[in-house]
Amino acid sequence: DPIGTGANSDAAQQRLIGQHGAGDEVKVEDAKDPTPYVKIHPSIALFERYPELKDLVPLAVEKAIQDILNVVMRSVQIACVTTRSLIMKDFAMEPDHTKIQRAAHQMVRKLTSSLALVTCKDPLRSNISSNLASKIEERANSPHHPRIVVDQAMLEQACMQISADNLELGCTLVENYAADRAKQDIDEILAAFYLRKQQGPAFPSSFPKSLPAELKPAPNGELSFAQARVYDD
Amino acid sequence: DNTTGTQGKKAAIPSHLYKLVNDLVEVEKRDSALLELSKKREDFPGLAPILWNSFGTIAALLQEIVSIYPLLSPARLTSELSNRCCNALALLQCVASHPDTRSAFLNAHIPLYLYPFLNTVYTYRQYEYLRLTSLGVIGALVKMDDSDVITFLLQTQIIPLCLRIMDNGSELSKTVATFIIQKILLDDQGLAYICHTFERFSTVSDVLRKMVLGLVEQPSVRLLKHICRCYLRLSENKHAREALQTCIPNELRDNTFASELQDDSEKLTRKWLQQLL
Repeated sequence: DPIGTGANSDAAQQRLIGQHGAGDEVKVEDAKDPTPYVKIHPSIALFERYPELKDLVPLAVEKAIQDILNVVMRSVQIACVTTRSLIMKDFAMEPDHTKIQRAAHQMVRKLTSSLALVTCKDPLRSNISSNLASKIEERANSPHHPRIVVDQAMLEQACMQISADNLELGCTLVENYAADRAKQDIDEILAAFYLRKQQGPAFPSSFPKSLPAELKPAPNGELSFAQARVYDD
Repeated sequence: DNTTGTQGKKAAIPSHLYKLVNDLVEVEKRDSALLELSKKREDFPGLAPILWNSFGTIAALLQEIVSIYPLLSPARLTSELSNRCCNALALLQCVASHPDTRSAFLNAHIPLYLYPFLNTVYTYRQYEYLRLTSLGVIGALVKMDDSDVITFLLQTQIIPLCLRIMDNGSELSKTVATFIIQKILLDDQGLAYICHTFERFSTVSDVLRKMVLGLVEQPSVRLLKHICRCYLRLSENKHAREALQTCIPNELRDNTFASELQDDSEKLTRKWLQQLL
């Protein structure tokens, strides 16, 4: 990937892994609990004064992610529609359903995570910040915590810093959640298509006769080297 | 090869064009193939079905599009990458405007991959070019007067994106965005959709009004023409017609734009304006 979509998210993930030690990779199921990965800069004035408020940070990040899952599902839907249409067109002659499934997974993951990232990044940034602000204010106004008096400038500084430092974490979780969901959905959507391939060798050629040979897969479904790679990149 | 030297509408597809389409699936050859094909596309109307039907071509073009997303915000898009992406968009525009590929293009939801570009707000040239080219693809779709296109666009929230560009885009982007709104309005379901609530109507009419006021400072006859056509079509809805009595800016009623419209080629715009008032 010369331009770097995949590389970019991989880099994000690499950095996350780096912070928490090898093997501590963020998993999809963690979309509901970002706690172990949340980053809190040591010199945030508000948290220096009231360290107990730090507990609210993972809750705010988690809620920001939850709040955005509707938008994410829209990306999943769009990517599935596109993938279904292109896979059924390009692999109409492919007899091996495992090859088709592999290409479908590659494509749907790439399209979904790209769409999810581009649509969610800005809302996620502001959601983290506003969720943290409201959680802190709620805590400060609660009769159980009479000691806490929130200074507005300090609150804003804390929210901005936390949001900036945890945006990448949020994006990675959202991207992974979306890509995994899309992979499941596309398998359901293409189940009948996969099954047809498993049942028999009879597959109609969907490619117009007028196309020259180099633009279609070979008659037995074999792809050229370059063709085989398109769905991998 | 009987196509040597033949150019224009009826030209058959020469074999080197097939070769270029084939090059699109190869990452190393894609950049130059995109450039060559986007230059030649208008000479070969038969190119669209080949782009759509050949293995992996559309997947490759989509990869080009989504690979730009991470560079959109914060601004890291270079002119070089913007040009490359616009060449891919130009090929998708081919597919969008061809009668044999348009429905497949819509059914695969491909226009939606352009919306993130329309959603950008940077005014740098490379961003402007990307927005304008994306608007061009949507413009090519609505030009077909196909009500399926309008249904698709209404369901996918293109209107707010166009309105924002009409509000603060360049003159050229404003013109294409207004053209798209005009085409949506000219469709019966589009007119009904925009006039369905007063809020929708007034959002559109506010933007049109603001554009008219902007034209006083910076005149543009082609933009004025599309704005007048939008107003005229809105007036065909009963409720909108009543509301327009107070919404149409005075600048359209007095002779503010008389000098721009005196040219004979603007006869139609003059007629629309008279009809409207």
